[in-house]
Amino acid sequence: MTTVPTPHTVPARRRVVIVDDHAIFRAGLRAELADRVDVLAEAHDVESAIAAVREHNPEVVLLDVHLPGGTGGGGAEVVTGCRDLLQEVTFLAISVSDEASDVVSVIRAGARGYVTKTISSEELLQAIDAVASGDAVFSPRLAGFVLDAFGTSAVAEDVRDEELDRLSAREVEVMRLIARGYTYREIASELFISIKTVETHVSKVLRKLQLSSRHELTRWAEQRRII
Amino acid sequence: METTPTGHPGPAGVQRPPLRRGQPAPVAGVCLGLSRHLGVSVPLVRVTMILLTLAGGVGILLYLWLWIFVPSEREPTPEAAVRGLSGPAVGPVGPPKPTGTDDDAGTGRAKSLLDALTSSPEVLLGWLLLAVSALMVAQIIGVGIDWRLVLTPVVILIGVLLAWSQLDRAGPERIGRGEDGRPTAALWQVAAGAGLVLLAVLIIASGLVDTPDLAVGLTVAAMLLAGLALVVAPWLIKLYRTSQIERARAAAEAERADIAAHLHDSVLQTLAMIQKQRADPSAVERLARSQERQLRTWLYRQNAQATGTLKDQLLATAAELEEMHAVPVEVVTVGESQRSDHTPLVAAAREAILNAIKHAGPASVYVESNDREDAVFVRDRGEGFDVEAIDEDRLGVRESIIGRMHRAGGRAHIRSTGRGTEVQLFLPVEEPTSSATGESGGAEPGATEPGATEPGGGGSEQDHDVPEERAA
Repeated sequence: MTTVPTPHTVPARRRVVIVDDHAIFRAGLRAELADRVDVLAEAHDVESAIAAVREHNPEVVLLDVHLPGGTGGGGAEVVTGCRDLLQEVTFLAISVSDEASDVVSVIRAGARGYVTKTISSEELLQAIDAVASGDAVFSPRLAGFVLDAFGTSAVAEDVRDEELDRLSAREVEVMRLIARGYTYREIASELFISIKTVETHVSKVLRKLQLSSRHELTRWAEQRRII
Repeated sequence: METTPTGHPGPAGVQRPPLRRGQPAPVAGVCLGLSRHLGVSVPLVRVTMILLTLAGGVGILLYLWLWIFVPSEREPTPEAAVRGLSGPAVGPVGPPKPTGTDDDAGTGRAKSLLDALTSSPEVLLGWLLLAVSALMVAQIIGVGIDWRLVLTPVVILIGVLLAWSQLDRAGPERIGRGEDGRPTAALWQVAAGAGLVLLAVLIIASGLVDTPDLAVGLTVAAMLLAGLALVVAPWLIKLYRTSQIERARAAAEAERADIAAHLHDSVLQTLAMIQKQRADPSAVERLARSQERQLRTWLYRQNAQATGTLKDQLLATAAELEEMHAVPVEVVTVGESQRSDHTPLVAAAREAILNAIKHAGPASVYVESNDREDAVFVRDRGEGFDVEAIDEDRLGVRESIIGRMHRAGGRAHIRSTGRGTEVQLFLPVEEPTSSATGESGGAEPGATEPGATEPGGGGSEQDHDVPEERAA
């Protein structure tokens, strides 16, 4: 893979830590990203990842879902281990796996987004930017998982914010469009809302995914042997 | 270990089916196996056996002998895979006539009568009881019968039958297991059989020696057995353990071989091809991608067989097109389809994906099923085209996507802008042609676009997972 020429100037170089147990993948990722972000450190298992994050205090941690070490919790355990840092450090899960269990466990631990390893460099850089500035990054597949877990029926327009176990009609629409492969910009023009609003919706969904104790979510997760 | 008649070819040099105890049989399948092997009808073999039994019990001994030494056709044998398990019940070639008993007619009626008289254990038991009553009648008439001579073999026989009948039913690994009912019952049956045989042996022994001597003899026998057990038991336990370990090892070995074979067939071949085609990046990427997909399917979806669900069919279609055209196709699915027949939807989706990857590059497919309809969205990021002009240059779209969906009772929309094209396909669950399968799908008249908001849907959610929520 080659680095994509920058179409626009990136305002600031993000400080990034790469966590993956495969040295080849770390090296590849580093080569891809090196001229656009600052790769502060690399880590290969749960303990070294937590140590690296605590030492370097990066903006974004690119976190593989499957990691050796620790108590076997993988990427989710790294996020849990850095829970006190979640205000400054954001985690972007990056995985080869399509398994719902892998994705949801790390998201529920506190990661701000999920992308697959086949993502292009340009998209990955955008995703890093997005999570660093506080937005959530949903791959189409993660949006699909969310819809599967929360149900696709459009519920009341005025779901209150504190109601964690249902998606509002707008959120369902946004999730559905993400799953259909739309970018935030396209979603905004499709629904006649601003990009900022789209980002707000996605962040709310992420919060619900992380905090919801919804019966369906639990059951859905149990079926996939997450909990 | 094989019994004598096994290897002999027939008189005309015809290869006989191997001597195996047949399986759907009342007792142990010896007669069925014999008849298959010899090419004689089953009732004939049975009657011969019974007659031999009456002639001093030879038949029973023969039967038990064959029971022990002839393997059942259910037992896996190395040759079985090659030869096939069993031949026809009645040999197709002219059977060699056995020693004629009462085979005067040989017609179907006689045979079926014989079969009815000998084929079920109950009938055989009836015969046994008849024989006993005949003996009783004889005693009443005045013939002196030593009951111990009759009774003890019968008791031994029953005990043996009880114990051995479990031999075929449960494999050696299942006898000891007691968590579910059947193996425990088997254990009881074996114990009862052993008890009966011991009882019969005691009866015989008590006929031979006096009671005090018998007590002494029993004590000595018990001591002998205990001494023997002291020597033999560790060996037996060791043997059992070794066989367990062997079995586990064989299973692990089989799994390893399975994985190795799969890796050899797929990954190694692909790696070799990648090395050969390293000058062609697109070929390498295609190879790597299709291999990744295969491996992923094998790892994560191993247990889910090709179920023929909408999801599986679309995934397969996408994989096939992706491989064919070297363009990535991502598929996201939500929900399970309630329909039974997905052919029109899959065919139309295939056409749409094909159009996308031919004219526009990478495509993403989103499938959503609810209790009203199945929806498929195929999106690409090409330059788009004029939807109004499709009847001139894109006849395929009009006919095979829109036309096909309409014929199937669904609908199709195409949205195309400069930033890409999206083909939207909808097929309601309840279709006029084939029967709908969803139990709740019938209640919804018509089909609404899933993106549309339900009017006033705050109180009554129409999601299919609501009933479970209420139930809990």
